[in-house]
Amino acid sequence: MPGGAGRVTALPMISLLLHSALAASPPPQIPFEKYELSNGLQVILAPDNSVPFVWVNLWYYVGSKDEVVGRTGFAHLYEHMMFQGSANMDDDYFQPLQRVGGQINGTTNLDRTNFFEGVPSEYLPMALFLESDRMGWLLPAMTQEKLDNQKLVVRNERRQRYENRPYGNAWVYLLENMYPEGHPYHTATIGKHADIDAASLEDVQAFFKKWYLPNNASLVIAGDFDPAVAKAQVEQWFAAVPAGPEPELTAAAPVALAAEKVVRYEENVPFPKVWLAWHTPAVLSREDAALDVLSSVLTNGRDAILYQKLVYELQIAQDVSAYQASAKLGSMFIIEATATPGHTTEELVAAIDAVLADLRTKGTSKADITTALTAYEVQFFESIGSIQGKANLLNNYNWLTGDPDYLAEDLARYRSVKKGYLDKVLRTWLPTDKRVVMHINPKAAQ
Amino acid sequence: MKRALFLLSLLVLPAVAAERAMPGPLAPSSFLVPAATEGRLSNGLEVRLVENHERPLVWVTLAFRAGAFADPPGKEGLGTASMELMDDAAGPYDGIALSKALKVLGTQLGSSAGTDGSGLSMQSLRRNLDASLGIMSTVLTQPRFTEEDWKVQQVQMIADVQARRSDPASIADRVLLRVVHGDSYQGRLQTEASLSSLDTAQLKAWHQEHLSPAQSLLLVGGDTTLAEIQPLLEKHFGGWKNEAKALDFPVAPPPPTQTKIYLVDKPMAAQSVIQIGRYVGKPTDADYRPFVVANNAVGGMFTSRVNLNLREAKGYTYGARSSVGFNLAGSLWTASAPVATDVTVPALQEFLKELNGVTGAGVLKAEETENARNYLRNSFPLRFENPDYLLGQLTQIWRYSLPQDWISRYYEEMGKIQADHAQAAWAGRMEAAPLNIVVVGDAAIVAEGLAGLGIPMVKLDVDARPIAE
Repeated sequence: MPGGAGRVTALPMISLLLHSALAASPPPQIPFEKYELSNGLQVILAPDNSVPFVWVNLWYYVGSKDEVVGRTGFAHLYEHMMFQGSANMDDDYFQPLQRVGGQINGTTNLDRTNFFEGVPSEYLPMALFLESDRMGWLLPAMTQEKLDNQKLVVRNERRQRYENRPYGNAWVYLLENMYPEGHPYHTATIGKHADIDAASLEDVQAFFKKWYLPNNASLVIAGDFDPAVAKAQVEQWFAAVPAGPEPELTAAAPVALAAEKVVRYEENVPFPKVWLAWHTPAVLSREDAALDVLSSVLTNGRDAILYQKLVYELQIAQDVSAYQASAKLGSMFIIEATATPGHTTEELVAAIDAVLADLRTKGTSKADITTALTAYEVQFFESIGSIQGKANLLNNYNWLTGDPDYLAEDLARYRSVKKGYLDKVLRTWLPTDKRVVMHINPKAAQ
Repeated sequence: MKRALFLLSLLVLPAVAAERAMPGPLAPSSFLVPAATEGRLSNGLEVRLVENHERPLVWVTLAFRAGAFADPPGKEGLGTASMELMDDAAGPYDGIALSKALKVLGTQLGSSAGTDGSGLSMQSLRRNLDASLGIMSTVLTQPRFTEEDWKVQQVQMIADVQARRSDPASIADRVLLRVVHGDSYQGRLQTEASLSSLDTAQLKAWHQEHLSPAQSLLLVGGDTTLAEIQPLLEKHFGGWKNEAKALDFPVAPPPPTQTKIYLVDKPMAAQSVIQIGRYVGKPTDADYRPFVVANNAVGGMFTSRVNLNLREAKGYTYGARSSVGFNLAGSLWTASAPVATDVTVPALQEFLKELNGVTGAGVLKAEETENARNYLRNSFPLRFENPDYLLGQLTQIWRYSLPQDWISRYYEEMGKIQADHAQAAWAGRMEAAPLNIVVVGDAAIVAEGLAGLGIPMVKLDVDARPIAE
């Protein structure tokens, strides 16, 4: 939604990658320095003066996985409340920033929440003041009226982005079927209407005190700024924010499906569509990189084996795409395909299975792996195409590994994907008998 | 003791509070709008280049004047189909070979058409630029347009038309285009019948009739220089020759004579999608930019009147906004909000109250106008992070015959706009102006209330055809 605060990102991070033939193009360097305030806030400074703008990018290590029973959707609703004013700036947070030309938004996913402002360089103090004020002094400005308003807004976001869009509910259904009740990923980040409606001011206070702490966050400043000035400003605004007890991280044992689970839905959709999903290892694991590469081998480009088979040879699918949805407590490998008119999802599943069976027997092609790795090299350069992209990259690596400078190791992860290993990953992680097969068919005519 | 402590805290607290107030700005940085380099190939093809050496990537786009507006009646989708099929197979490459050749280089290439124009675009690693341009040139000059590829493409395009009919937001887009344009220009939507009538001979003919050096602009951005790339461009595109057919450009449709609600029934819809629109002059009007500022205050930004009311005060929607842009026929203004079904009628009332209020009791205030102007003006430098924005603007200057200083004067012109300019620009276009209003939602719930608003209402189907009562 253009201009909409509090967007839920549907997918967990698709990991940022790299790969093999980097001999010719050296991997990009993002110069930065990292330090910590006495209250535990991690600070990463990454100067880049390509345009007179600076981004403040703040990650809190809390997502919808951390919600309590009966409060699905709350992490995201709370993110909305962060734009509603704080003790020393009790106005909509868009107001002061937009009038100076600033951009502002935030996103919540299963694992984490981020907030960011891009402002003309001279307004760095304003952006830091605002972020620090809602980190430390949100509650004095919180009211029932604000909460009631944003509950309505978020419920409309749910209707707009999930319920009133063909296939919009697919992600919600997929998570419900892949993860058992009680698992942190069972409910999509957007949550359920009844839970959103039930959220109270007490819930806002508890969430603030437990998760929105300087010692549970990291701040990246990227763009056109003087590091000495930035350090003094960070100290001035954030140092007084009190630390809290280290929050206990939400954990979950890896989920293993006992058998194939087939589920069917009828919805307001134009064509039959099917999703095949497997549980796979977590973000930044070696398998996670291999499965990224496998997804490219299967469906990236017209020559990719699964795309070529379903769309061009059999002509039973309008589209088919495979991807590794990487997340902290475990990832999913997903293949989704839409039937061409007159064809069924059963035909699609049979054809996908035939391609996978053939691949398990014959193994992947070395040439396909090489070109997939080249595409990841390019994708990496694309991901740092903006200052905001760099800021998110640094915060993402820092959050997952404790080190913003993780590029070379991420690169090595992809470089290590060779044919023998990829074939083993395929055989191990994508078995026919342990997966969810989800069909969404058009509702019968009324 | 107690008293002393109390005093101490009184002394300390106000001091902290005083520190925690909105700080002022630092000294501003300067910004100069970057300029493009201009070149020309021996066949007359004009070149524009914007350098950026941060990453080893180069982008090359060939923009063409012809677009879907040139489709003959009954052949809606012809230009789109021709451009979509063009990059499937070319010269020595069949579909699979072309895809493999590009992937080996790490190159992305694609062609497509919109209503007002079309283009062939490529992203290459700097080290593979020569080879990538070679493939791009092959796609431009030797597309195969095979029967096999068209069969797949045609099925996908027809499916796409069908998919749009089941998505409330797409239905609202399509129906608004129909009610604004009727049977002209953007009102001529692709249909199963028009797409079924196309064949590869027609697609090939469209390509030959419409793509020529004289009707194209070659845009380059990224990690190269004109001195470096000009010889490569000459090698791959300098020999391209073709004469294109003259184009008939569209004109603005007649304005609506009265405000009407066009209701499309979507049983069980989770929301009602409201879309409003009309033409409001041309981008070359002297007060176009003041109008852009006025619109920004009314509905363009998050903190606009419309969004603060419908979202932040009432909670009717996740976002309400209005926008103004331009196309070959003129400047099109639209406004939209997806709203909860049960508040469809009050949401539309509030929407119209905000739009009409500007020329009534709610004239644009100085501070509000300044905020709306500064939001646009001060965020302008951010757009130049990458070459794509400036190249896009140069394409618009070329495609829409805008003044050459359209971008270089932006900063200065925006800086001068005051509330009275914005107010006059809004009033001149919107005061008592009849509007086309489309609502896509559950008619069983919303029809009666909408009919009670005193605005004439017409019921349409998802293809904007009137439904007999």
